[in-house]
Amino acid sequence: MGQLIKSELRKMLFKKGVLIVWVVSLLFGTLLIHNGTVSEVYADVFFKSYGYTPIMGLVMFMILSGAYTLEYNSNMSDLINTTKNGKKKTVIAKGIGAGIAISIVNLSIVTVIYLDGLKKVHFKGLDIPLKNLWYFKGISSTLNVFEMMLIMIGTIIIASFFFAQLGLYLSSISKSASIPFILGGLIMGVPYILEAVLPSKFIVMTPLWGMISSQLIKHEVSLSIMIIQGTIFVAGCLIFPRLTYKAFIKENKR
Amino acid sequence: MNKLEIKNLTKSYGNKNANNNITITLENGVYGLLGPNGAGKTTLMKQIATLIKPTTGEIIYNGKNIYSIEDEYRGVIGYLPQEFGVYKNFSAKSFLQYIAALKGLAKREANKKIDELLNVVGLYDVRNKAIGKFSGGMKRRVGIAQVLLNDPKIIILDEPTAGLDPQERTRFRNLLSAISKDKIIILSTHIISDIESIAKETIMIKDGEMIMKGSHREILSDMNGKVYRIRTNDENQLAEIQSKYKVVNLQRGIDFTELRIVSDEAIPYVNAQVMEPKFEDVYMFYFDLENTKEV
Repeated sequence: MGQLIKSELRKMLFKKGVLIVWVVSLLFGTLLIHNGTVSEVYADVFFKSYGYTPIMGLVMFMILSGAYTLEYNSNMSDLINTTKNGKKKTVIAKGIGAGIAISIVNLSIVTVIYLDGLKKVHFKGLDIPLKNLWYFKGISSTLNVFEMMLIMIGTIIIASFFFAQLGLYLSSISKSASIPFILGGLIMGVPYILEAVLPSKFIVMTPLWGMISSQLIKHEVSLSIMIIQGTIFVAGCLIFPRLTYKAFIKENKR
Repeated sequence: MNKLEIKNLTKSYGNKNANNNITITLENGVYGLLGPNGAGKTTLMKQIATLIKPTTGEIIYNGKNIYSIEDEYRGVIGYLPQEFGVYKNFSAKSFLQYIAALKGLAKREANKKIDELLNVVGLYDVRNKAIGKFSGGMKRRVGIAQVLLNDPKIIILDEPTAGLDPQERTRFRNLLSAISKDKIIILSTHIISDIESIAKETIMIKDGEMIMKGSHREILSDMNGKVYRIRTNDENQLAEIQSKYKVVNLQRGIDFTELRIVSDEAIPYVNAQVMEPKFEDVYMFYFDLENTKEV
């Protein structure tokens, strides 16, 4: 399984287009945070972390959208499905590989933004309560900056696995990589684009907000919403691979 | 001894039968699968490779239905699809390591086998080069190497020599002949000379049905008295022959034009001479000229 996951990571990440967009997004990420007081810088860090999610989505779905269409278009799916481990383990290996790849990409982007902010304030003030930052103005949470950063890292990893399974499923049912790219981007981007239009009840349930969990804290969502978010992630990680498996072993996909 | 029995195999898509009631028994050796485009060769191979399930009928390997021993069966097959695209950013070695993992080979065993096969297909010196930089023939050789990784007992090759130069084709034929002693090798190709030179038996398929199976001698003997040569410099006769008969070959010389014809009926020309049949005559007799790609 280790070799299969390693190979899937190589297939997904080591593509010229993906590497270029990823590196450019990291470089651009270092330019986002403005100078200011410690609390202003941290507020900007959380503000920009959410604001930068379209770029995360772009890299993410560039990686995911071709994951299965590559196999179909190259006829590798036929070859894989005639091997002893191919039918059973490829979907699992792709799921784990994509989860790791997306986590690496998303965490690298957020880490660059964090580090840029931390460098600007010389790593001081990590214990400042979130409620003291303008971005979280008026909240009652007792979380501090450092805790929020750690929580976000955790939710980004979990959500990366969720988006990976979603993207892989969309790729597995598509003939062209552009369809999962657009669909996946829309699913991720809807709350971002239509935040002002859609009811907040809906927005707080979206996976994007589950990933950038500072949004949930900022809008003081209830514990039950957080549990529902967690359930959506777990259910997605369990259901999408099963649907992907069915699509992958289907006869005459091309 | 391996034995693969294909019994009353039919694969339907809607009202169309891609394969219709095919029954064949295969034992160790090379079998050439011959037929025009759309005849149902790939469908048959995909069913043998467990990629598509038959509508009716069954495939039995050593006495067991292949779907009752699915994993075990996949462990003994090697498959090379017709159009085979490899991952451009993989080296030949890393690609074979990936396939070895899919085939369930242990890492140490896999690396040993990979080095051995890269030598066999002549790619050892470029094993760490990205496949994206390989020529079509080199990619094909990587494909052939992956087939052999698990030392398969059944090898299914769909147009394996397409894109190979004559030297590579010869090397490939020799390789197949060398390993065919204890394996069933099913080889689909349009290149008649490949089948002529290595196949123990040829299976001819047309419109989804098997129309003939036999050794070269059997198939050629069936054509005895059906192949003619006519030399003429009469353009009217030439035009008439071309309109009435299947012309396998037409060669314009300085003094006359020579035609090679296949016909079930006797040819009513005094200048017609009965010839020894060749395999390309068989192909022409059963299939259409436009499907003869290379001979």
